[in-house]
Amino acid sequence: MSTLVLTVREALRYKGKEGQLAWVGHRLAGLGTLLFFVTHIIDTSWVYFAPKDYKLAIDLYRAAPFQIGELVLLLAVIYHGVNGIRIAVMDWFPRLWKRQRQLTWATFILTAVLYAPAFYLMGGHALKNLYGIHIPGID
Amino acid sequence: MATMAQSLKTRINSFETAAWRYMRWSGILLIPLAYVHLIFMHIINSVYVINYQWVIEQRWAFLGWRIYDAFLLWFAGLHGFNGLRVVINDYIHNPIANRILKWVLIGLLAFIFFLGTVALIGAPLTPDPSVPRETLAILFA
Repeated sequence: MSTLVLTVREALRYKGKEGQLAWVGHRLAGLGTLLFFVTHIIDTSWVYFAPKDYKLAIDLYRAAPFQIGELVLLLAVIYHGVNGIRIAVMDWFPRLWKRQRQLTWATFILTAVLYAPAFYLMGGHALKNLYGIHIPGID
Repeated sequence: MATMAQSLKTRINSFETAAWRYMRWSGILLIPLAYVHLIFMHIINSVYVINYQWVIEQRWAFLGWRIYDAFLLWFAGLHGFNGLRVVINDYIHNPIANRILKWVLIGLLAFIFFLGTVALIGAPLTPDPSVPRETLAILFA
């Protein structure tokens, strides 16, 4: 526990700028995705193990708090993938290390570019089905 | 330089090397696997479309989707749990706590793989007729 406190305190104190932000984001996105993954395999397995109860899980996912969670999940998966590519590419081409700051920003920008339409469309499904609000592009 | 590389090589922990390689290559494989899954399940369709009958009739009636889901289950599961193992090693230095958490981790991974794999193999090709179909259960469908 003290290690965790130390880690959080030093992570806040250490001024690693965008490189550190990229690392912290990668870790949090990975852990968050894993948490959802475990939950998701359990609920999906009910299709076989408890077909009548599958509706309980789906109804929960349809509720507003879980919709916000799903939007965060999309961001986590997109970022973890894009940042993972950056790490792999930098390992393969060490001369790119000179440009690591630009590449980190490129990662953030590419994540935002991929996330924007995903956020819009997924949020559109939620708005339509939860509140009856129709936005363009969602039938 | 050569001697340094050699001395490094002799100290390589083969399990950690294999784990690192696995993370790299499974990560690359998971980008198309996970992104296509997200686009198809969360963006083209949504949790408002998905229900018991939909999963069977639109997805698992097709062997290809079952194989796809199996790949995602195994590659993502191992990738995620190895990631968590690395995180545990980073923060939990007490050897006993570290060991206990590793065993919990292995148990949880085995449990998840078991649930997912059995469901993918065992789920029927047509929905169980005793499960009621959804009748516009959502507020504004």
